[in-house]
Amino acid sequence: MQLPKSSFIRPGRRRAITALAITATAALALTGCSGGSVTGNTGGGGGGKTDITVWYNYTGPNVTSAKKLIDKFNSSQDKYTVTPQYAANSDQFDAKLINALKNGTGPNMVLGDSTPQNIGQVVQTGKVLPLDSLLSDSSSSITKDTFTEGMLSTGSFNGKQYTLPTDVGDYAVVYNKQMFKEAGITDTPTTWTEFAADAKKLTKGTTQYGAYLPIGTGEWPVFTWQAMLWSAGGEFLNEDNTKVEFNSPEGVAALTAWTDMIKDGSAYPQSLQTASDNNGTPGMTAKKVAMQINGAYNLSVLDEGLGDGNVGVFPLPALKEPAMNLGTNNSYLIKGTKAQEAGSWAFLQYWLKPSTQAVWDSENGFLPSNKATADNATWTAYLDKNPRIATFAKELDYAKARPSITQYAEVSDALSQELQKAMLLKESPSDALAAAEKGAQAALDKQ
Amino acid sequence: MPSAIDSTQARPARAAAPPRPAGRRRTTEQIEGRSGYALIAPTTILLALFYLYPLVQTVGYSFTNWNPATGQTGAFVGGANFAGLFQNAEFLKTAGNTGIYVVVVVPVTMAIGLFFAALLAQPFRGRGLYRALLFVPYIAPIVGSSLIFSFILSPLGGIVNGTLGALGFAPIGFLNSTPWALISVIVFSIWQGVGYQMIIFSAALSNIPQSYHEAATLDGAGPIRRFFSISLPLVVPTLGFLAITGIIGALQVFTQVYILTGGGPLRSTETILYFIYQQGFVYFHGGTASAAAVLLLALGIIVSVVQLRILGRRDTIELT
Repeated sequence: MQLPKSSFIRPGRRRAITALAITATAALALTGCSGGSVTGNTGGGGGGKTDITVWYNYTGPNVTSAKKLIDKFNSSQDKYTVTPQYAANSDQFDAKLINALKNGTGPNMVLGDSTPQNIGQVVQTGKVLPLDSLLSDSSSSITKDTFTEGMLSTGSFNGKQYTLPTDVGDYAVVYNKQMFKEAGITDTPTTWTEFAADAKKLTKGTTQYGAYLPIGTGEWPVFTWQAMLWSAGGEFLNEDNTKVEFNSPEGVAALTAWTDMIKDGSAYPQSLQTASDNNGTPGMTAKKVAMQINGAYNLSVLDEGLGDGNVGVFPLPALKEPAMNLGTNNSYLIKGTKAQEAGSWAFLQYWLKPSTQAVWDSENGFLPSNKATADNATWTAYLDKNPRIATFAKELDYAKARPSITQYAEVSDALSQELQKAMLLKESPSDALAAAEKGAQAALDKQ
Repeated sequence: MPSAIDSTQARPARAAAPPRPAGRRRTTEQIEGRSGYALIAPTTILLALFYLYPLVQTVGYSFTNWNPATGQTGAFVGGANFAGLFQNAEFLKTAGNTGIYVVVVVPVTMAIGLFFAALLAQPFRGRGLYRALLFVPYIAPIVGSSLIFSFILSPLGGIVNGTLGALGFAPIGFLNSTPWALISVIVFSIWQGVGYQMIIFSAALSNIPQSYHEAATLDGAGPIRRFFSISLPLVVPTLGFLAITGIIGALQVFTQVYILTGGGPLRSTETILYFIYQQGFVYFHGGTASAAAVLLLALGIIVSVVQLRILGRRDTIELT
């Protein structure tokens, strides 16, 4: 029998829909469907003041805090007006910025870029102002000595200083005090051997695990394991960032320290890394694990889940020597007119002042990048009230930073995939690191 | 995207020149044609600007080693990007995952959608409520429902594992162990898409004249027999349409993967679009990302052409 034509979608219309759908494939795939628009600086300001447009990706309470400090700067002098704008979330921030810089619609300054290791891509546009001469200028309130070497290194590319760290974060081990009491543990561990022994005591079959060690994709497992590697005496890359060095006896020791705990059942055997994971924090709040590596920014969630006073913090235990990795948000200036560059620089100096940093960091759970902030009265008072934060801050003395190279994302991904295989016990640590070295070296050699 | 045709206030732009008339006087058809062009002009211009231009640009970039970060148009590298894709283990893995996803999600979603549409074809009390319940997942934002799913499926305090635990089973890492992660993403997508398929099928089923069913009933056919002999053959064109849009949609799955599993564990849920995103926006390999996007586009076109042929339509897709 003859089929009647479907009258639901007319042929012509259907063709249009199909063509549209097909076209959308490629277009969407590459535009990444970003919404919202951000305008750059259009130059002249009112009342003889120079307008300075600042882009950031801060959200929520950070914005309130930032605006308050920016208003303070604006009312403290009469040459510049700083206008902050939220540009994009951290994932898309650099891509959006690069596009804007190419079209001449970019800002005068970027505050707190949360992927400093990718800023190399932004620097390649040629629009980022090098800071070396400004830092060595006698009238400048900040110099290279303002920061520790590890912190300064987060902002140098090809031997030039392009960005400066303005927010700092690291990690430590958070633990459930109640569980420690039940297991009869009185002192927190300082060496990895002690840590592993305590984890065994804290384990009850599969209902409670001694520790959660980072398993999963993304940067977090790599970021935390790097400190293990340094603690074992190993290196991530060679001196000039051209050769992968983590596939070494020290690297194997650092990874084996982790996989052994999975093998003996004292560490949680699955990944807790999803978009809503907060570094695996649910493992603690569900009272499934007693200890985990975590950042200070998750303390409030942990306190809420486990009760105030039940969450303790101790520094990452050492394999051979204490080690720590730095996470920074970096700020930098964009080339413009003389007045714009001077204004951005004046604002960046204000932002890095100990008195500004003490307020900003204590309100937002960051750590200071300016060494002098440690002696600021506001900051020391805050640490006295929050001894757990002091633990995170003390680790900064010996913290190192990840290499500032444009291929970092790919190098990290190659390692992250293999770390995951080893942690899921699908590969031995030495095989995993050998495979990771191959992938990471290929990424390094690409450019 | 709202069509400009539906807008009563659209000012027709200057019309494109009509084809030259064969005779000296304009026929009615040509006059109508002229206003027709005027009406579709706004949409066409927008489409050309926001779909066709980026598409052509993407095809162009796929033959270069363009780096989106530097802003320089890269050097011409011929087919190297495409050749590289086929030697890239990561790409092959993501292509395989996408293949599994399409092959499972599309037919299962359609079958369930048609099943519910047939079930809800006859009027009864509360039919509207059931339809609404099935349709809600489709209109809810994927980001939100993905997050809800990730809480429900969590091995730590998620409802599903809580229930399993109460029944004496060990918790399952639905989103963080293989093969469960891919299964979870697939189940989510089916749950999310069934409502849409059901609504479209319902429309197709209601177009079938009641007299066909009455005649078949007189001949002694039961409801199941009637479904297979009358309803199913008559919704074939709709089936074809849904298969095309379904496959094209499934080839582009991204959001739920990004939220539910982040592509893990061990790349088991990374899809082609995830790969494109990584290459383009994380590694800044514009050429490789464009080449993968072009392959995805070609795949979409092939699927559509094949299906339109199978459906016996003489339509061709004109993409100039």
